[in-house]
Amino acid sequence: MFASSLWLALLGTGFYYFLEYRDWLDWNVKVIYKVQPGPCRYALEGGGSEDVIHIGGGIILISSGFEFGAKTGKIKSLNLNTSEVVTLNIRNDPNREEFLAGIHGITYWRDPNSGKMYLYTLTHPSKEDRVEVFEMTSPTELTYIRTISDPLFTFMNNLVAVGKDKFYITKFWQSRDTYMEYAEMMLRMKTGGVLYYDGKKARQVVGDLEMPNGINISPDGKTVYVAEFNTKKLLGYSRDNTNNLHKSWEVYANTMLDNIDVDSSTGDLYIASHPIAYKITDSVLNFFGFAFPSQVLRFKMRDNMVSEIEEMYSDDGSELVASTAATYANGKLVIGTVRDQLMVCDVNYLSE
Amino acid sequence: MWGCIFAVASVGVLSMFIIQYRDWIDWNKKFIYRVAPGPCKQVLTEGGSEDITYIGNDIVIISSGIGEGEGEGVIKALDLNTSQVVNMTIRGAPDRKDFMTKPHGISTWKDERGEMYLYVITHPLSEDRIEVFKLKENNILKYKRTITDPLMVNMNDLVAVGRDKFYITRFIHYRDKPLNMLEIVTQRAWGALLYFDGKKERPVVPTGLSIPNGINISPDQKMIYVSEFGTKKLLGYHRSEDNLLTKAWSYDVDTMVDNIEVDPDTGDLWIGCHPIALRVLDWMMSGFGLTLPSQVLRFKMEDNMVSSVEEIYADDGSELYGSTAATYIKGKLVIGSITAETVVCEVNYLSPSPTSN
Repeated sequence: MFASSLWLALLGTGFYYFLEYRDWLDWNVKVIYKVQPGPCRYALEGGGSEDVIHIGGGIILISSGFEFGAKTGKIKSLNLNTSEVVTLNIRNDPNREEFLAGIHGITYWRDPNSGKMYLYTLTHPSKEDRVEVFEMTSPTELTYIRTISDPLFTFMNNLVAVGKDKFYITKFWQSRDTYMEYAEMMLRMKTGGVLYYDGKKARQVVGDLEMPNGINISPDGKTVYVAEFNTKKLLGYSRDNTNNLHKSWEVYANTMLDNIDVDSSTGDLYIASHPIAYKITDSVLNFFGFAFPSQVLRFKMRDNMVSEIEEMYSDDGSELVASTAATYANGKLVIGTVRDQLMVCDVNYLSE
Repeated sequence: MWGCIFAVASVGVLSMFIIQYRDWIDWNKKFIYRVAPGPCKQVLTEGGSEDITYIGNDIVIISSGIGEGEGEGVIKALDLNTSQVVNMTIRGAPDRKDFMTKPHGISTWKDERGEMYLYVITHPLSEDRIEVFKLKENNILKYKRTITDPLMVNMNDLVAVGRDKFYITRFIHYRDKPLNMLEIVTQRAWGALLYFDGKKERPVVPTGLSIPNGINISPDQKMIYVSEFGTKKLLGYHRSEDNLLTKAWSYDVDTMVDNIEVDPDTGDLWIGCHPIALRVLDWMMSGFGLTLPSQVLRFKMEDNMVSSVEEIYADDGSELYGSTAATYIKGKLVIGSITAETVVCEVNYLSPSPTSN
C-alpha cells in the first residue's frame, strides 16, 4: 500500500516535470499569426545577418556568416537611404586562418574626444573565441587594430561596448563542442554568465544564467539588459561605478529572446526572438530541418524598466527564417536572421 | 500481470487526456503582446457590443446589452466620421416587457428596392426570439415582426441570405445551468446549424459542432463560414442551390473564434477572438473574474479558402475586455466586446489581399 502510493507520488512528480518541459518546448503551439508594421522587402536574400546595429545616419552594420564550424565571416553595411548593401573592406588584415570565423555579436564605441568609431566583433575560430577590434576609417572600410582574447572566453554570444576596448560580453555556453552545447541547452544547465572586459582582462560579473544571448545598455549607461534565451526572460541589471552588475528585475517574455537593440532617443528595446523553442533548439544539430519562425518585440521602457511589450513583426518562417536581431532606424525596422535573409519593413505606426 | 498492464494503460490514457485538456484550456498561457495597427481609442466604455456590422454611409451598428437585464438590450449606431455613438430608436415595438432582452448576433439584408432589414437574436427568459426591423434614416428602427420556432433555441449568430431567410448557429444543447456549463467544460459537440426559409426552420447540420458561434457568407454567396468556438477552428461549408450545406474545409486557428465579418470587396474575414480558453470559461461561470484579453485576426481568402492569417490587434484586456467581433471600413478597424468597451483603431497599414474572386 505504502509502496504503491510512493510510486504514484513519483509518477505524479515525473508527470508534472514532463508537462513543464513540454510547455518550455512550446510543443503545443500550432499557429503563428502574421504581424507586419508596414510593407516589407528583402535587403539581402541570404548570407545571414546574425547581428545588426545602427551606427547613425541610416547606416546599419551587419555581422554575416554565423554558422557552427564556419571558417570565415564578413561585415556588411546597409545604407537605409539608398538600400545598398556592401561588404566592408578590411585594411591591415592580419591574414590569419579563421580570422572572422563564424562572426557573431558586434558592438561599436564612438570616442567622444577623437570622434573615431571602433567596432568590436565576436568570432569563433576553432581554437578559441576572439573579439576582433577595428576602426571604421571610411564608410566602406574597417582597419584592423588588435585581437582580444581571454582564458575566461568559452563560447560567447554578444557584447556591448562601454568604453574604448571595454565591454560586457555574454557567455552563452561553457563548452565549445557542439554536442556538449546541445546538452547544456536541452538539460537547461545554468552554465552561462556575463563577463566584463576592462581593457586588459575579463572577470565574471554575473553567473548561473541559462544561455544569456543578447546584451545591451540603457542610454544613461546605468542599466544593462540581458536576454536570457533559455528561460525566455529579459533581465535588468544596475551597473555600479566599479562596473559590477546587480540584478534589478526580470520580465518573462514567453519567447526565446535573442539580440537586443536600444533606441538611443527613446530607450525602447527592439528584441528579435524565437517563439517556438522545439524548433529553434533544433538549429544546433539540425535533426529535423524545421522552418524557423521569426518575431520582433518592442519593449517600451520607463525608468529603465519594462512598461509594455508590443509585437512588431511575426512570421511562421515562410517569409523570414529565424530572426536574431532587429533595429529601428529612419522609420524602418531592419531585421536580421541567423543564416538567411535581411529584411527591411516600413513602420507605418509606432505608438507613443 | 494483467492488473499491471491495465494500470499502465489507464495511466497512459489519463495522461493523454490531461495533456489534451490542459492544451485546450490554455492552462499556462498568460502572455499577450500588444499589437495595434494605428492609434486606437475607446468610443464606448461600457455596455458591450457583442456583434457589430457595417450598414453603409460610414455607420456601424452595434448589438449592445447581452450582459444586462430583462428588456435592457439596445441597438446602437456608431458614426465613423465623428466617433459618436447613439442608441437607435425603435418605432412600433410590441408591448412586451421582455422585448429586446439580451441581444446577441445580428445580420442585415438589403432587398432589390434598397430597403435594409435588420435581424437580431434576443434571449428573453422564456424563449429565444429573432426580432426583425426595417432600417430607416435618423437611426430609426421600425419593428416588423418576431420570428420564433420551437427548434430555434440557444442561438448565437445568424447571416441573412434573403428577406427573412437566414442561417443560424445553435451553439449549445442545454439552455440552463448547470447542464450548459457541463456541456461546455466536457467539450461536447452538440451544436448545430439551422436554416430558416421565411416560414420554418430546418437543421442543415443537425449536430456534431462544438459551440458554433459566428456565421457569415462569402461575397459570392457560395461559401458559409462558421466559427467553431469550442474546437478553435474556422469551418467552410459549400452552399447548394437548395440551401443545404456540405463541409468544404476546416482551419485550425488555435484561438476561440467568435463573430465573423466579411469584407464585400476583398472577401477578407475579420474575426474577434478569445486567446485564452480558461479565462472564457471562468467568465462564463462567474468564477475568479480573470481579465479577458482581446484579439482580432484577419483572414485573407483565395477561392473562399484561407490563404493567410494576420493578427491585426491584440490587447491584454486593459484597453478592450473580451473582443467578440470586428469590422474594417475605409482604414478603420471597429472592435466590439461582450459586455464592455468598443474600440476604433486607425489602420495605418493593411497588406494587400490576394486578387481573385
